[in-house]
Amino acid sequence: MSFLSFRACCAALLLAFLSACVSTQTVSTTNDFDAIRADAVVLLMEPDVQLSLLGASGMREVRADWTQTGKANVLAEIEKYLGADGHQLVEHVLNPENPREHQLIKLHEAVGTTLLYHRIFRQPLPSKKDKNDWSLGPGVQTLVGETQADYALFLYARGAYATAGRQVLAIGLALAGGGGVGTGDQQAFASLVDLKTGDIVWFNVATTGQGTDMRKPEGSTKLVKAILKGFPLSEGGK
Amino acid sequence: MRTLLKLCCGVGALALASCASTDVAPIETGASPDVTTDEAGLWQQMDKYEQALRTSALLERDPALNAYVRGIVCDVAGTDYCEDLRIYVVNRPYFNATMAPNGLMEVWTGLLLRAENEAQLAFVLGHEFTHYKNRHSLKNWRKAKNAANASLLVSIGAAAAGAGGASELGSLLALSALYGYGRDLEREADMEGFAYVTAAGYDGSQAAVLWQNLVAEVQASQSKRKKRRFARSSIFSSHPLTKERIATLQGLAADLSPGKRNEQDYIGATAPFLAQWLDDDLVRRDFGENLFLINKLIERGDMLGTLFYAKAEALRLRRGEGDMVKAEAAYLKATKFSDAPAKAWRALGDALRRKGDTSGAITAYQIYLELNPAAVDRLVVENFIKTHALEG
Repeated sequence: MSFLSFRACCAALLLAFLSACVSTQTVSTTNDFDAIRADAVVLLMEPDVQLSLLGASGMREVRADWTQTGKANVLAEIEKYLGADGHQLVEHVLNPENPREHQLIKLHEAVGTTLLYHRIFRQPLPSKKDKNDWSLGPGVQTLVGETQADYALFLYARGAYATAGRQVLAIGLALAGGGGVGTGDQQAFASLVDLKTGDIVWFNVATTGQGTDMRKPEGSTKLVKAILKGFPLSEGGK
Repeated sequence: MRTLLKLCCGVGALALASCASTDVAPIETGASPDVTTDEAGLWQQMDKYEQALRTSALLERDPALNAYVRGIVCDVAGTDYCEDLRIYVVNRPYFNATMAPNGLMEVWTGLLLRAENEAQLAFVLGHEFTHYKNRHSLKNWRKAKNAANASLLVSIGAAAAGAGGASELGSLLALSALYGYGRDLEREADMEGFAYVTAAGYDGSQAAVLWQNLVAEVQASQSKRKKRRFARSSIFSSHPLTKERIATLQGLAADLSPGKRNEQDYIGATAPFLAQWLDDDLVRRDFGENLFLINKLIERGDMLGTLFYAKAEALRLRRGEGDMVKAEAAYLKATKFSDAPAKAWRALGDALRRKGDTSGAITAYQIYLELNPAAVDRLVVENFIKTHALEG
C-alpha cells in the first residue's frame, strides 16, 4: 500500500466516522412542575429550519426547496414518533399576521442558544449553578388558544450540505496532509415548553454529520430519533 | 505538491462548472423565483428579515406618512411593479434607503429629514427600485460566490506553487473586483432611477442637488476621518465617488426641461415628524453635521420653534467654548414661535437658572407647566418654583 493510498483510506474512514456520528445532550428543568398527564395536548410549533448549500469556498447559500422539504420531513417524523406513544398532537402553523408568534420563535432561538452556550458548551453562569430554570415566560400562554394545549414543542434546525467541489476539496486537502475543511453538518435543538409557565421542562440538542440528511426521509427519521431522545412524554425515553 | 495541483484542477473544474451567471433579465411584475433556485434562498432569508422588521420598534407606523412615501414609489415604479413592493419607513437617522430582492424597501427617516422636496426623494426611490427590477441582489450574490471560488483557486494554486503569500493577493483581487462590480450596479441604479423619475415628471436636476447637499453636510462634519473617507475613493468603496455621481446626474439633467418638485407637499407631509427626526439626528453626535442640517432647515423659514430648539440642544450637548450662551439665545428664540415644544421653556428655565437668573427661570418654568400640565417632572419643577419664590 503506497503512502498516498494509506492516506486516502484514512480520509475515507474519517468521513465515514463523521457521517455516522450523532451526538445528543439532554437538559431537564429543575423547577417544580406537575407530572405530565397521559392525555396532555402537545402543540407542535412550526419548526424553524434553514438548510443551505455549502460551496467550495465555504459560502453558505440558503436553499428554499431544501428548507421546505426538511421542515416537512422533520414535522412528519415527529408526529410519527410521538403519535406512536398515543400523545395528542396539534400542528401549529405560524400565522404571518400574528407578530407575537414570530417573537416566540425568536425568543426560543435566543433562550435555546443561551442554554446551549452556558449549559452544554461549559461556559457556566454563576446564577445557573445546579439549576435549569430556563423559561420563555408566561407570554407563551397566548399559544394555548382553542386547542387547550398543555405543552408546546419548539424545534430549531440548521443544516449545510457540501457541493461536489467542496467535497473534492475536503478529501483532496486531507490527502495533501491539510484539513479543517468541513463538508457540512446539521445542528438541531428542541424544547418542550410548559404553556402555563413558559418553563422549558426538557431540552435536547443533536449534532449530526453528513449521513443524517434531513432532506431525506431516512435521515430525518434518524435526526428526530436523536433529537427526541429522552423526551419526557415517552415512557422512559426511546 | 502533485496532490495539490490535482486538487487545484479538481476543485477548479467543479467550481467553474458551477460558475453562476450574473447575466439575468429584469424581474417581471408579479414574479417570484422558482423554489429550487439560489434566488429563492435569498428571498426566503429576506422574508424572514421582513417578518422581524414588522415587529421592530424602529418601524414608523404612521399611516399617512407611509401612504405618502408609497405614493411616490408607485409614481416612479409604475402601478404594476408597485404591487410587488412593500415599503417600510424605518426610524434611523442616517441618509439611506435599502432594497431587498423580495420587494422589501426600507426608507430611513434620515433620508426623509435631508430630502428637500419630492423630486429628491423620488430619485432615491427610483434608484432603489432599479436594484429590485434588475435583480441586483442576485447578481451581487452570484458575483460574490464566483469571486470566492476564484479566490480559493488562486490560494490552492499559490500553495501548490509554494508561494503562500500569493493566496492573500488572490482574496484581495477577488474582493476588489467584487466591490468594483457593486459600484457598476450603483451606476446602473443611478442612471435608470433617473430615467424613471424624470419619466414620472419629476425635476431631474434635484438628483444632483441631493448629493451636493450631502457633500456640504459631510464637509461640515467634526470628524476629519469621515471627511477624508468621503472625498477619497478606494478599490473597496461600495458606491462610486459622490463627485462622479453628481457630475453624471448633472449631465443627464442638462438637456431636460425642469419638472415638478412638489416642495410644499413634501414639507407638509414630513412636518409632523420634524421634531422627532431632529431629536434622532442628535443621537449621531456629529454636531458639525447636526448644526449644518438644522441651519439649512432654518433657511426654509418655517417650524422655527422646533428648529431653534433643536439648534439649542445641539449647542448645549456640544459644550464648546461659548456654546452655552449660544444655546440660551437659541432656546429664547425658539420660545418666540408658536410651534416651540413645551420642553423649550423648561430648557430655557434651566439655562437661566444656571447663570443665576432665578426669577427669569421661574417665569420660564411656569410657562412650561402651563403648556404641559401632565409633565413627568412637574413635582420637581414646582418644588424649585416654591423654594425660590420664597427666597425672592
